[in-house]
Amino acid sequence: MRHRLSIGAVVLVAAALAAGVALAASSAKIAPPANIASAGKIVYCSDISFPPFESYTGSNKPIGSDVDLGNALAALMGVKAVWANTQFDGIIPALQAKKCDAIISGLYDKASRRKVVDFVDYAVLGNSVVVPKGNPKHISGLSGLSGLKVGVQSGTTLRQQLLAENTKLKAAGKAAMTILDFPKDSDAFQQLIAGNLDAYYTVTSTAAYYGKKTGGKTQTAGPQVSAFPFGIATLKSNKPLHAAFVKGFALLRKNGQYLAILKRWGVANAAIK
Amino acid sequence: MSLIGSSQFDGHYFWEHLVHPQGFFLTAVWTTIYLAVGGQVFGTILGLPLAMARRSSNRLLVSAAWFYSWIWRGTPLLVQLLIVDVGLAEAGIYRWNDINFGLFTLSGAAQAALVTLALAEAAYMGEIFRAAIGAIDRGQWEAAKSVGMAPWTTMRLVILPQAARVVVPPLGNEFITMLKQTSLLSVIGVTELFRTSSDINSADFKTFEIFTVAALWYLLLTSVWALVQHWIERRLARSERAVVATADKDPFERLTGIAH
Repeated sequence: MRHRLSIGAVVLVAAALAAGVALAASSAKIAPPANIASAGKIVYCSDISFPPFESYTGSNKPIGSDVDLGNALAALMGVKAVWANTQFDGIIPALQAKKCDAIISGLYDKASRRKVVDFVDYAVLGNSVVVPKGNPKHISGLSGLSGLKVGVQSGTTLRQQLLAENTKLKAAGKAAMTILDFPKDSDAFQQLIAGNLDAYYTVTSTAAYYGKKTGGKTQTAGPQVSAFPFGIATLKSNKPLHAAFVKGFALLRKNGQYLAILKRWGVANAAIK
Repeated sequence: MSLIGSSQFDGHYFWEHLVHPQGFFLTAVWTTIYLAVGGQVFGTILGLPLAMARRSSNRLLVSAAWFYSWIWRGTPLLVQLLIVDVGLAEAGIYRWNDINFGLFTLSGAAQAALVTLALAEAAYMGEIFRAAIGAIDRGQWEAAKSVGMAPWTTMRLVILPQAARVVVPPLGNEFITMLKQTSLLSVIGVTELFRTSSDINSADFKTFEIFTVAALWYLLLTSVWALVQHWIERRLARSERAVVATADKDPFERLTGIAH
């Protein structure tokens, strides 16, 4: 009896699975590359510590505009999105080591990175200096940080900009800033709140998010610096996936889902025009 | 698991970073060294009174020492670092400010690192000292008493010199662990060997090459320590050279375990 029942269960489950696969395949608006289709999922590497783009809810669920975008793209291909939380300073090596299929992690599209990955740009962001409320050190922006303690996330373009700024300061005969880099962007913010730093350098939208979240404990100082596109990175050897993302992103822009996602997370001003 | 196929190992990059380290890389190596040495020295100095307290006849002192070890040995160093550095400041209890010593500035993060390493290490060293003192034959105490030595004099002149020899091998283990666990300091913004290697990796994407270079540096540091430990053991064994056989091994043998 028990035996017959369990066989029945297996048949039922198998039927349900087959139906599910058929459904997924029929709902795919963009044909996924063969390996993605057979795996039934896209694995994204993301450093999930960077709101409002990617962060965890209290119940450990990844949320944010990058997460919604990645999920929407996976849904277009009729597969599941899996989020692999990966430390930012090792995120491109993780992709190279095939720990994931793509990176969506507020990753700036830059020439040095284009040598090893392909990008589909999906937003344009600038950077800002964040200081405690009231700007006690009267910091006027990136060029006003001489002699101060500045926190930044390790392995970021932001950190390279600070290093370049230090070179300029030294050339002008001024005191360099002390740059402290941290594994996560949110670590650097924590250190600012704790008073261990004079300033913290991050993406403007993230600065705005934290300012709101902490009830105005922090603010930006001076004008926004530079603007770079965020891109979805795939391996240069993985052209089919890159092509699928290009198509998928174009579709999300056309059907309005893209702008809706950015609006939901308060970053509509970062939209690609 | 599958092999990826053609090797991407960049031998030139590896070699350049190994034999021509840049200034900032050497600064990070130096940071690793002084924080490990500082943590071990202060941890050892604090460990001895802790062991004494555990052996004392005062029950309050015994409990306090036990409580200290319980807390510091029972929690991960990573958690301790975050509490001591950013936690204390965030709660408005204590903030580590940079101290300028004229010749160099000890950053707030480095101070928090040094204090945490030393306090945690004291708990382990306390146990090692306690075991070493306990290992000395009771007859030694009785003999010292019979010639009229006070307990403290006995401790200082009879017990501790013998205990020191017992302490050195486990102390060597502790210091090797200390050197390696400095890599955790990266979470509080201390730019040590591991942090700087990660930074290079994030710019060049040559994970295997740069972390192999870092691994070789750690290996060099722990190997240098093996030589120092050998020297210490020889000095402590001067009176009884024939008895302490390990101290007679030459440096090559100590490193490799191969007699030659």
